[in-house]
Amino acid sequence: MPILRLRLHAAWLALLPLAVQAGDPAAGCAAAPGAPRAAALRIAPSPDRAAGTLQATVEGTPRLIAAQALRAWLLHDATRIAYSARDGAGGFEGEGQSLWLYEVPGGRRRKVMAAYFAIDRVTEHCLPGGQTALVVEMHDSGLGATHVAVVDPLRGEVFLQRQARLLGVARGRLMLALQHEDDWLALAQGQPVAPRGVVLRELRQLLRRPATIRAPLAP
Amino acid sequence: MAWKGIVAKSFDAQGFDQYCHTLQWTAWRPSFIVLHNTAAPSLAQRPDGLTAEHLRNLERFYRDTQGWSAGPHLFIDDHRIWVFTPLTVSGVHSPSWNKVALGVEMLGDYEHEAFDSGRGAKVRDNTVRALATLTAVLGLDPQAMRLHREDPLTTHACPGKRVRKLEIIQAVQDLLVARHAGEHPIKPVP
Repeated sequence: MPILRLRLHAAWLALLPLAVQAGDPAAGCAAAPGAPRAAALRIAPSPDRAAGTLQATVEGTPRLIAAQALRAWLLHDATRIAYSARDGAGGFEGEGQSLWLYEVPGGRRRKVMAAYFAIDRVTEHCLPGGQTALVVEMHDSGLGATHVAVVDPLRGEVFLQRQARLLGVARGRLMLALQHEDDWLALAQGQPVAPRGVVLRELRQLLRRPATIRAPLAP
Repeated sequence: MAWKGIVAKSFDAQGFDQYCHTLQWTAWRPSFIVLHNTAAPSLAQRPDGLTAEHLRNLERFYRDTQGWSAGPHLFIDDHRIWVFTPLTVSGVHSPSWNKVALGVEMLGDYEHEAFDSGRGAKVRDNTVRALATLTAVLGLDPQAMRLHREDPLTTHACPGKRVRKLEIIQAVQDLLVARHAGEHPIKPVP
């Protein structure tokens, strides 16, 4: 799939998310009927303002999901919980986080990502044939840049684009805006900044790539 | 952006002071200093402090893994003051202030490791000496120093809860007075 790099005027930025959303199938995938589902995710505040205990309600019963979690998301028709934790791959001042998946039916968990960056959001995207891809949005606290990864929930991280903004996912295509180092402060201040380039990636092709889960790394 | 290169030299406090007096801030001049801790590695992970090899590893990390044009300016351990990014160019260390501030990293994880005793206290003392030099050479206001966690675009608690900003500022001011008291006594002669 060729990488499409466009120089776009800042005025087009406001239209891009709309274009991407048009025709976008509903995010998230349907799970088997009758499978236990989770609800009411909650992370107990911890004394050190960091990771806390993650709990969910499964079929009316509170269940401990993880002893130390930073953030959590319900995926796959509420039969899967994704949560971030502190055992990432190092990163700037050790800010790198990990991504774990907890399967509500069965209660198994596995680590699917060790990132150099802090994880902000995880969204699930269904593909034809039953495959799912997780799109993970992250940021760092040195440059203030955002970064986007794609994770195969069965194998691990298959794609990482540093210094990119997620414009959207539509029809199985990931659209990213590439930015320059000097753009990030202006973006954080709400200024319109044109992408330096736009990258389109087919999620199905990305899921065919080798997967990695990095070992902890201290610089 | 092209990698700005590193200096990779270490100094004791006096040597760092002499080094800074050789520099000229013509193309870029910082307005204040941002204080950080490395968190990882911690003091425990670097029992002998930093080495030149560690700095080369850091260079590879910031340049190749992070894709940045530079990193913080100083790395300070309990023995030496290491100059990383040249002090005369902007670095990358704090999203809101990269273009206007020097970034000073203290070796250690001061969310958990002691900062007022042992090796942490030595790192603190070296840091105060380095900050006093930079403050004097650049004509900065010591009160303008900030902690990384004060950056609204930062989401981790750097340099850790055990680093108290006002204590650092007071220590820097005290050292500046001690170094540059001048000919007149601070207090009237009784």
